[in-house]
Amino acid sequence: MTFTEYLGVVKDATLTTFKGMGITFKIFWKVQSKGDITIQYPETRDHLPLGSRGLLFNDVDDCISCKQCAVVCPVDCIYIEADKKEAGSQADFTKGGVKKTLDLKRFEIDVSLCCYCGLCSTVCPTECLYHTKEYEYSVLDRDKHIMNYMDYKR
Amino acid sequence: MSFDTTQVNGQAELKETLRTDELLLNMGPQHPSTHGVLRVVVTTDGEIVKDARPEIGYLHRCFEKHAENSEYIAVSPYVDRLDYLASMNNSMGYAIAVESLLGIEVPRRAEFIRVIISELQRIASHLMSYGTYGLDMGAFTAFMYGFRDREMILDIFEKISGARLLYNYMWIGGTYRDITPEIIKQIKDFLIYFKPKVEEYNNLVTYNKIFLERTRNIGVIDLKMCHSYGLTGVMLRGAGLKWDLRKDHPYSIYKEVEFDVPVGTGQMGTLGDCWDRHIVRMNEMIQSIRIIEQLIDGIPEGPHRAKVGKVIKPPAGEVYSRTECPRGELGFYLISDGSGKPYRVRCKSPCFMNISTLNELSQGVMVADLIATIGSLDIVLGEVDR
Repeated sequence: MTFTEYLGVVKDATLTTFKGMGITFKIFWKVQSKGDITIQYPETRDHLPLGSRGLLFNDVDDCISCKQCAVVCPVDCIYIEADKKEAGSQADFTKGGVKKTLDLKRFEIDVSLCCYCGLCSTVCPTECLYHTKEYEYSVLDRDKHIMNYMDYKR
Repeated sequence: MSFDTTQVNGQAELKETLRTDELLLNMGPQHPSTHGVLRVVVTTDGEIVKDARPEIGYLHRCFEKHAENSEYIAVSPYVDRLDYLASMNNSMGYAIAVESLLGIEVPRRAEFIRVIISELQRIASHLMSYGTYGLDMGAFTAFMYGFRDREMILDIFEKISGARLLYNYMWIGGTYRDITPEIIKQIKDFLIYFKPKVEEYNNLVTYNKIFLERTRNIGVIDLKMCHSYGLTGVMLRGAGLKWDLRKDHPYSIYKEVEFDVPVGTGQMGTLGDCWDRHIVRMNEMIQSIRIIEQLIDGIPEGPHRAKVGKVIKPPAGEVYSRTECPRGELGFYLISDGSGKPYRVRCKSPCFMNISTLNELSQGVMVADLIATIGSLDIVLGEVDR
């Protein structure tokens, strides 16, 4: 490399670096005039759009124990136990008017296994299992992530 | 090094203190410039790399075995997790494979949504590649700008699918949810915002002298090497071959859109070097914008998903389908025995081929050039290990 070539390289490096710095400063001033764009998380929260897939919730009053959600689940994290209704007991209906033939005994979801794919809430015939926008449910004990939805019974 | 005992004591001592030896260096799996959990066992002689052996398998999740025990529809969340930076393209590939096995026609509206969304995902993936490559080369600003724009695409995806990274949006027979006028407007706004940005990023990073000197004539992959390793995608186009499945074996509605296939020309150094692959990625973003612009105004009315039923039972048979993902050709080989679960799901991932070239590329280069080479391969370890 001759000295002239060397000077050319130095010139190129300086020019392109200043070109890049110009772009950086242009954007820097634009952002400065706009004010803060970082969301200060615990104080302010971002608005989640409609249909966000957060923590699952099951309204057990509407559940007909069809187990379609447990079958389609890719990670098998939905545990359902249901007995046949005792003969002579009062007929039970969901809000949509579907007759319940089974008596739901257990409906649990291990949310630490859940992959939030949204398949279970789609196959649900009575639309009682759905994703909420809840996303803050970290716990210290892993067993507490097994959500028992029978407790939420109205 | 052999030790000469015939020499006099003083000289032997000197030789012992000045002894040179090869150094075994572990790069990764926690090193940030390995792009995930990749471990490279590097044998160095001073600053020169003698041998670089990539150790993979840290992210192995038994995808293929899991798929054999899941229903067809329950495989798609697993497929999302292969290349987690381009989930939409992955699940589209799997959906196309199952659809051709089932022999069903996808509604035209669904095809339009699919192509628009997968091209957006391609932009997001290339932005990530641009950002992290800049970071590897010491340009932190590029990383920030890349992520800022990628965030806008993720916002669109969050609105349309409900998730930010692993969408499970492309379902067998169509899409999960329909596209709304609000989202179409958001995509249009993004395109108007993003169009001049590619040029800006080129000025910021691509034509920067420091970046140029670090990437040109480094990691040269010629066509012969591409063929022997089975490289596809950006690697092949960077080596100068105009091969794009969207153009040469068009699937979905790529036949109806106009776009160019950018190839490496070797204008800054050797044909097929790291810089060529970088510029191919930058130019592909412009082409993706072109594709979306052609489709976004003409989305036809109709259903967004074909009627496939809740249980998918394809007839017995086998199919191999391949799609053009941001990192290369992603192939799915499915065998069905007529039951509700696939008999075999084989995934041919482009990243595995890309990473296998690392040893040959890094013979006799500097350690800093090894980083430049790994960055330009643009690997995602979720897809390498599966």
